[in-house]
Amino acid sequence: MSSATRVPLMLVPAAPAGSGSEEPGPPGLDDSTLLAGVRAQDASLSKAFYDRVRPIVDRTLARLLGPRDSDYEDVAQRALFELVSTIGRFRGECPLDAWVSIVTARVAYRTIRRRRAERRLFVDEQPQEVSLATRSHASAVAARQAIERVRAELERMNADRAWAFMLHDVYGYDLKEVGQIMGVSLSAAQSRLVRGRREIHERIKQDVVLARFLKQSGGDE
Amino acid sequence: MNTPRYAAAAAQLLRRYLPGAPVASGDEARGIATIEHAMQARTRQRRLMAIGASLAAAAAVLIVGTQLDQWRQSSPSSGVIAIKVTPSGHGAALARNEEEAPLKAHSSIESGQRIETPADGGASLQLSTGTSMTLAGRTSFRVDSQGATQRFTLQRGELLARVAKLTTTQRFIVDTPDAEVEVRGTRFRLRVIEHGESCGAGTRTRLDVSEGVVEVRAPNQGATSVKAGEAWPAGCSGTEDVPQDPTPRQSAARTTAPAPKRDLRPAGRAAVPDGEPERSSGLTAQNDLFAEGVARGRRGDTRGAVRAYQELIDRFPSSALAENAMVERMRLLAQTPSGALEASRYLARYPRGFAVREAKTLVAEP
Repeated sequence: MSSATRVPLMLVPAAPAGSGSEEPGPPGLDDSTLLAGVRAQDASLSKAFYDRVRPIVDRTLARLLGPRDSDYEDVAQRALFELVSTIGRFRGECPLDAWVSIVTARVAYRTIRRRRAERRLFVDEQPQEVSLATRSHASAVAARQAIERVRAELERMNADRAWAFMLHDVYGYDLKEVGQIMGVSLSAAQSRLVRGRREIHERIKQDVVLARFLKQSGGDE
Repeated sequence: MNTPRYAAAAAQLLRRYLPGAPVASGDEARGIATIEHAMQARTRQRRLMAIGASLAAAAAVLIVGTQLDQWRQSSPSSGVIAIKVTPSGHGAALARNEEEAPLKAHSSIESGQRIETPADGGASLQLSTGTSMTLAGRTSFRVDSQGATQRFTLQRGELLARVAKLTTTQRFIVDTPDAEVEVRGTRFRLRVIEHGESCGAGTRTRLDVSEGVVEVRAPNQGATSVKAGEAWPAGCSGTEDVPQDPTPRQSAARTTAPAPKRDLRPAGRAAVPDGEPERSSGLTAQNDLFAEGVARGRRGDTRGAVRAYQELIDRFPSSALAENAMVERMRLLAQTPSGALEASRYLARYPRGFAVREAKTLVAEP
């Protein structure tokens, strides 16, 4: 999550400069101490580690799976297990929050790929913000319908391209992170993203109603 | 990367309405248990990896050690040269100092060990360098060194050697009671006869070289290079027999092997009575006949040479020397009316022999 030009829709808000993390740990326990303890299999730090990473896991999974997904808690547990198992590979090259988010997203991606019959790209539930008071009822309905149409187009696309588009352009992961989550090289991730964007653009262009809505909403911005 | 317009708008729309995280966090107790379980699994995994790495390292060391050992055994320039010896006939013995034991097939022989063959027996040696040696009957042969310098002692009897090409650091030396023979990839026959006073300044060593060059060093005679087809001492190559006395004289300074103390004939085989001429082994007789043919031919005694070769062919038709004898006889008779006939006989018997081209030329000549 490094692009400064992209809309800063990051799973984890940018950390204060120099701190490398946003979630406050237990009093007197910074990230480096916590990580060193977990690497040393210090079981007394299990609770502190859980408190530190669980909110990030939840935010990530809520976006990729939806908070009411039937497998939500199982996937969250798998993500926690994966975080501890692979903690030796975390070398502090990115903030801890970003690393937790990438590992969690990878677990979620694998889970969804296993659901062959159920090719969901993102949550089924209704976007909560659509009914925000700042929007009129009519525009909220129009936005909800537009999201449904975009979702339908994404479901019809090649899954890998759609995933690359969602991870990069919607969830805010950079290309390297997209590659890590999907288990492919940087160039493969880029190729999937470019093709995914082109494909969704062509599909929306064919949907006159959706295209008009997006044009208008783009003008509103 | 320029994002197509509708793709960018769709992404913006989706971002705006992304669902938030659940208000209540998940099952904390289960999450902490999962973390502790993962820690334990990580410990087990690291322990297994450490064990695996140790096993892999041990296996690697073992493999490298084995390979190194094999390389040392097979490398002629870096280690001990393996020598396998197989007896032919019965009664050959492997001896070290005063201890003797029957020689078994494919036995390994080491420095200091000695091979004793009876009158009607023999032995063949195969070195890991590719060199092969054949010991005739009534031969005492000792291995002195198996390193870069391969050194042997022919105390008595006869050996036929085919020495593989040597590297620059290797030497192949055979000591006899009164001479030292050094070769550099060749084929030769070396004998120690019982009585050699008649020629060659009394030396008992006889050498016939078939291929390559052999250097002979003898006391008071200096070093002599003996080339293919030549014999040493000059004029002595003939039919002198190998020693009749099973206990040879210890006459040369280089001789260190103790004389055989027992009759090596197999049990039940009668010893040759004193005064009765002993029969040479088959190998010796073949070599002698061939050497006689060579010697007579060199002296210009064509008839005698042809007769010697013919005897060799008649008596030992399956001998390795039979073809050579036939070729030599063909060459001797090439200028006579019988030349074409001899060539035809050769072609009929050895259609793929080494002298086919030469024989065909003779047949084609009017």
